[in-house]
Amino acid sequence: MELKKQKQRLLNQATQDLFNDQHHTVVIAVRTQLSQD
Amino acid sequence: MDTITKVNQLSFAQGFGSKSAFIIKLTDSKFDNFAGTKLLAKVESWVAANALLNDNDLPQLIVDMENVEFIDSQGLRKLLAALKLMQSQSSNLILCSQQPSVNLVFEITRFDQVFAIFPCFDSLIASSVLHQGQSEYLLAA
Repeated sequence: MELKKQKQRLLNQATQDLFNDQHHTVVIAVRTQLSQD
Repeated sequence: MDTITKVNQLSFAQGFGSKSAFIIKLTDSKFDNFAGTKLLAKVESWVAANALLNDNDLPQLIVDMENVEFIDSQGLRKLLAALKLMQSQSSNLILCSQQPSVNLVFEITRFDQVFAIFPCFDSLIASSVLHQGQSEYLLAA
């Protein structure tokens, strides 16, 4: 479960780095679906 | 609720659903071949990274077009390519906050029948409230 969260965090950061370039795109929000558990 | 009534059927059908999502904003006022190619390359990289790292479904990508005042056919082509790519991964690319000039282009080309388009970010969030499931937003701006 911890590994899964780490991967998700890594992916979120990578996504922000990818899209936050100021010239063409910028990330304005992230919507995370909360677990129903 | 007024804004929700303006959203077309397709937007409801292809709405947020219960997926996670990244909301990005186009910063340039012109969305042509150059800007479209840049966006498509980023989406391709993002999809590939998700395929490698993410066990879950690919989050949806919401593109806020508030700053875009001009879009040409090449820009439309790149957006369509990005949409097809997202849909091939069982996800979706949703547009919001189009300027009237851009909205007109979508209407004339009937691309408004292909993309789910919400009039504003708030209406998009409101539509997600209609779906079941809880979600949280982290606003970056």
